[in-house]
Amino acid sequence: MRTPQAITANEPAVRGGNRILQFATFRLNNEIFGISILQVQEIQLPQQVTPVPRAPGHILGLISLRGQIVTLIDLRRRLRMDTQQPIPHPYHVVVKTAGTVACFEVGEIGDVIDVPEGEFRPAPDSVRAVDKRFLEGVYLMKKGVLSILRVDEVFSGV
Amino acid sequence: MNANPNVQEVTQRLWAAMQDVREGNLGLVGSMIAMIDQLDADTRPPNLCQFRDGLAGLLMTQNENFQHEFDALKTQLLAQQEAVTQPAPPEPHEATPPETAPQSEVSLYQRLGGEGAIQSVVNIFYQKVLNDATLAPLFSGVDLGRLKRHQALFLSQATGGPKQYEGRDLGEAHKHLRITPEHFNRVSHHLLATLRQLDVAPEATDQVINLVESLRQHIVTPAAAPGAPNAPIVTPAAAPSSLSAPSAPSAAAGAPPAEESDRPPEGIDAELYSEFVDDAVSHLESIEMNFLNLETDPGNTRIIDEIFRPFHTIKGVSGYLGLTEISRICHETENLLDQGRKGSLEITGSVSDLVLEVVDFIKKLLAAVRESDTPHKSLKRYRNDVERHVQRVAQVRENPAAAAKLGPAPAGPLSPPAPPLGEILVQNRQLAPEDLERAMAVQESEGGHLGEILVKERLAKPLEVAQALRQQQATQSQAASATPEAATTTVTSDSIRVRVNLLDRLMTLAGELVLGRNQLLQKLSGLSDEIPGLNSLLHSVDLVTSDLQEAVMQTRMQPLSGLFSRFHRVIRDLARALGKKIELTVEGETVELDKTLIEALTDPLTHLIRNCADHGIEKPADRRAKGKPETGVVSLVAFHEGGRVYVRVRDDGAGVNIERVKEKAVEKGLITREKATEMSDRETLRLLFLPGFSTAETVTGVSGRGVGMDVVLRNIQNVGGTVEIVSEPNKGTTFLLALPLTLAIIPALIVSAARQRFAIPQSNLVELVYLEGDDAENAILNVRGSEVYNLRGEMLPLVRLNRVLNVSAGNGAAASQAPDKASDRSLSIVVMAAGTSQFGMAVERVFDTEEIVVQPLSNLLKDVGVFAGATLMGDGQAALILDIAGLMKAAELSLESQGTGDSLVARTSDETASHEDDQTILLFNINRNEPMAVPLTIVSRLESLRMSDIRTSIHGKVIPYRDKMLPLIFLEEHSPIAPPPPDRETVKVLVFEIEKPVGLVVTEIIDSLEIAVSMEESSLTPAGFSGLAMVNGQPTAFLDIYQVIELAYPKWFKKDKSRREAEQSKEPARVLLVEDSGFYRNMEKSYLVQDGFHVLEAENGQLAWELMQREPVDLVVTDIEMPELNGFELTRRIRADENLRHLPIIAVTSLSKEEERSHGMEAGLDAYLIKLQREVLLKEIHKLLLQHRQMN
Repeated sequence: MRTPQAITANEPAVRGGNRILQFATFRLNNEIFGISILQVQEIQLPQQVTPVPRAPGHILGLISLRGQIVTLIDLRRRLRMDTQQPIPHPYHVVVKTAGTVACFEVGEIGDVIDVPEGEFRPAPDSVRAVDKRFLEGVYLMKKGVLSILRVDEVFSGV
Repeated sequence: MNANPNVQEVTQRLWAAMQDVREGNLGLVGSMIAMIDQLDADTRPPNLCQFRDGLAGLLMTQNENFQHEFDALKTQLLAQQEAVTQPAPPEPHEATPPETAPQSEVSLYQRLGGEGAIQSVVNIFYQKVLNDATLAPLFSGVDLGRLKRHQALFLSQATGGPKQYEGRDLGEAHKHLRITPEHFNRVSHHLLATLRQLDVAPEATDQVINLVESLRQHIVTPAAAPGAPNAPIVTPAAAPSSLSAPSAPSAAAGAPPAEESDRPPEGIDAELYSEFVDDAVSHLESIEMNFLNLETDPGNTRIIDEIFRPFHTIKGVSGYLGLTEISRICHETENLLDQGRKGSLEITGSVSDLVLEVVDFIKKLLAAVRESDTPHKSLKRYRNDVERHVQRVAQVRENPAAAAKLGPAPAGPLSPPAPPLGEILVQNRQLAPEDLERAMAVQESEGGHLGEILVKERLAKPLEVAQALRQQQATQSQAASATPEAATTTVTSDSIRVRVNLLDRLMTLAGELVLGRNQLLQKLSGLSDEIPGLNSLLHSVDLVTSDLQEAVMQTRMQPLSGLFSRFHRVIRDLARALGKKIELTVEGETVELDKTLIEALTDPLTHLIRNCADHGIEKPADRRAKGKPETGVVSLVAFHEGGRVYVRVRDDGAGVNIERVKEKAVEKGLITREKATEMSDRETLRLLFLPGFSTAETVTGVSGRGVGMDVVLRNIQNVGGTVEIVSEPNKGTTFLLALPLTLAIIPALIVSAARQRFAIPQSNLVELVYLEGDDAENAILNVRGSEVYNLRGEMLPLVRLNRVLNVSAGNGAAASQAPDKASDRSLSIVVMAAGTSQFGMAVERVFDTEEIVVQPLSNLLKDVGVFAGATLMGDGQAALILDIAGLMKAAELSLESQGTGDSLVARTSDETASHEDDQTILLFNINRNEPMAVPLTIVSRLESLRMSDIRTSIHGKVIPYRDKMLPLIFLEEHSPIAPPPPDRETVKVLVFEIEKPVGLVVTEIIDSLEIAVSMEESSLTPAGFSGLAMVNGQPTAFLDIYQVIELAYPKWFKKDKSRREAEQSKEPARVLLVEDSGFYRNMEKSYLVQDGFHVLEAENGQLAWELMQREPVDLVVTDIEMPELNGFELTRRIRADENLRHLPIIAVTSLSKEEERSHGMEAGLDAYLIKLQREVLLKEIHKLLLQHRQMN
């Protein structure tokens, strides 16, 4: 299994007086998203999914994570992004949120990115592809815009 | 006149206030808002948003009002307090009954109309909420009665109604009352007993205890501080006795009578003490750690808080338990630390040492509590030590400098307790324990020294008593000279606290291990010859795994004793309240049950016990008259049998009056009178479990409010248990509850639907029915659009799992092939019980019964409602566990909706089609290549028959059917469709009731589906059909049964005079058909066109109105529910128009409620009909047109 070595939680470093926050990044529909590495439990290759009938549309189903049953959500649907585009190399990102463990599917895993605290900005209006309720803010990288997700919101009740 | 509330009153208010805090009344509204906010923005309907905003407004204004009213009241109270002059009333219980503080201004509460008005507002509010299909499910798991009560209470309080109270004013309020500790203890004990009875969470109980303790500080007159003139607690000055005269016989005596008040409140069991000690020890352990932290970070108030808190908590609980000594020393230390928190005292090394010393001392006291059966007595022996510690702490508090001088060493060695004289004598076998008890009883009633009494009563020899006294003295001095290390007894807690979710995790892992073991055993079983020793290795892995699983299960087990013990008090209180004599006998309290099960059992069992006491046991006089002993017996027994735990509640009372139950059930419309006469006693008793049933002649406040027994049944069934009642007149009633041992592992039946596996808890299972071939086809009948299965003469409602779960067909190729084989020729029905009803569930396949490990579902899925949890199957895939009650609820919705075509069933959100067009249709075929459909609502029944049974008569082909001949239609004889396969032996018959029964012979029933139909009319549509639509990707012809009947039996419809006349008039009448659903519009249009009308169409009322301005119309047929302008509004508009007011208007609707009908008639409708009844509609149109013409 290709477990990206980047996802190893570190203590937040301090650089130039500002705390450095670390975000695990991944792509979905050509957008780059980040979630705090402290919330990432592990990254898995896609598992067999048991669909849950009558569940809301953004719930893909249940997967077994070494014996623990975890809910898998469709992040794109939750963020109201286009769900038609194929995800070329999907991964399951397992996150710890609000006392439980949940999981979502993403494309291509990227690096862990250091962001000095206080350097992200509110999502600009031009961000149309994503429901802004779920964005903590954006951070301008050399390669593009990193949208930082509010994981707890994404997984809060439906 | 004193306006002060007395203690009882205050405590009641305190209870109410605490209840508020605990239930979070303010939070209730807030949590509703949160609930709504959690909904997806796009699925949240606008009315819900309005509702949410309304709530938010309410919350805001109520908060303000609350604060405002509160401040006003406080000012008034304080003003009054000052006006009260001394002397105060002599005794608190003689204090004049309190009045709620008078309010000079009319409060919002009064302006609103008081409690009744507020209650009705709340009721209406929830009625609206529940009528809203989107909102109702949100509240499905909520105890609505409770919610309503609390909301009403909250609103009353928030608007300035009664029960306003604030703890801080209490001290003032009780300044002049002389409340003794006895009074206070008695009252607070009631409060705490109630808390225990209500099974309040420990944290909440702690909160209350702390509150009560601070209340005690404020209102109990003899202040706890030393030196207060009438403090009942012995100060060094007031009680020089016990330690200074250890040689006196009185040293062995129990408490002097004056200190009776220090006894524990009644009804406290030993278990409570040991729980307290466990808790306290773990609290104290944190203190040492925190002192270490404080040394590295002196003055950190957060750490001082952490040190302070354990003392506060221990003080509260020990005060409640009557362990005055412990609460006193804690109180004093708390005061000292409080100064540290405020910054007026520096917690330096010497202060720390003192506090740590106190900690050790408290541990010692705790050890004494644990080891003794009579903790109050044993603690008294430490009284002087307590005083010395208290004094030292007080000294340091008043003069912090003194702490330094005191030095680290204690002022003197701790006096060890001398064993009581009586105990020594018993130990020396010179006195029998019974005799000691007798002597102590004498001492208690008459006073005096124990030694003297023993000699006087000739229970012990004088010499032996003297020896024992010397022995006592020796022990005393020996212990006194012992090293301090020996003196500081250590208490260690013999249990640890583990979070329940950790246990759950362990449980899951153990389950996983079992799974892994099974797979391992399977994989390796063939290799045992090749690998020597493998077998024994596997065997030991096997054993260890089983043991581990069992051990983990046991961590969740608790004895029933904790639960059972509380009922003694319940019974005693009830007996007193009801004026009865009742004895409770308890057996089997050592039986252990899963923690969650004990929790689930608490409420139902309480209800049953109360029920026995209230309804079962008769009044003493009645019992005497019946020749029974005056004292009734309620017995509570728990036992194991066959892998289940049984709890039996039995009374020897009057028994259930069977006739009265029947009468009541008939009265309430639950059963018919005929049914009542033929019901067996056993069946009748089951009626008690129906919601809203209560046989109590009067509502007693104890039980019998018409809620309860149904809740008992539901709660027990929720955890996989059952309830049985047996009752014999004048002999009594027995309730037998059967429960599984644990909830974490349950036996379940694995079934599948649409190739996905689901688990059905065995406890819901009644039987399995497997039908093959013809049986499978004959057994299912269709009654008014719902399927039923004829199970040995009982009509069992049948739901299809794939349909309820919305996993039906839809999946392309797999669906179109599989069901033909799987569901057409064979049928598996799982018969299940939920509540008092049974139903059958058709599943695709039935697998084995397995023991499954239940895992809870994530919060994300809690609203789905039809699943109780999930489990892992042997192959490692997750499977969902069905929640039968939830499933039934979901199925009922869909069954109801079949009749109306307006579905409440959740749709897969992919389908964006306008749902007005959703239809439940029956798919069938005559030739396999041509699927056909008919709306399910117009099919009365499905039958199956053999071709060989068909007879030919002068009327055509018929079949004997219910004593008559059922005319049959073979569509292929009348319409150019492909012929049926020549070799068919059995056929299906769709039975329609159109004026009289008629059967349509078809080859196969494919499915019934709920889909959005968009029908196309085409010139290619063969005769007998109304159009074509795509169903499951195939063009499907929709049958027009009226046309079919006319094709087959041209004289079927006896046309009445009006219709013939209408047909004869040359010019066809112009009918305006207003209907937003394309499906219904097409169906109805085809009826009208066939009957020779000219049909104009409009999609809603507004468009119809506009069309009527342009085109002449003779008659309007309209739907009610439509966008823009609905049918009622359209009717009103027509009736108000000068030119159109006389136009006949017929409403056709799927709403068939009487109030809707009268509403429609008021609006000016001429007729109100149900959709898709062609003949009725045509008759009505002809009748109205004729009337209209005659009038003009």
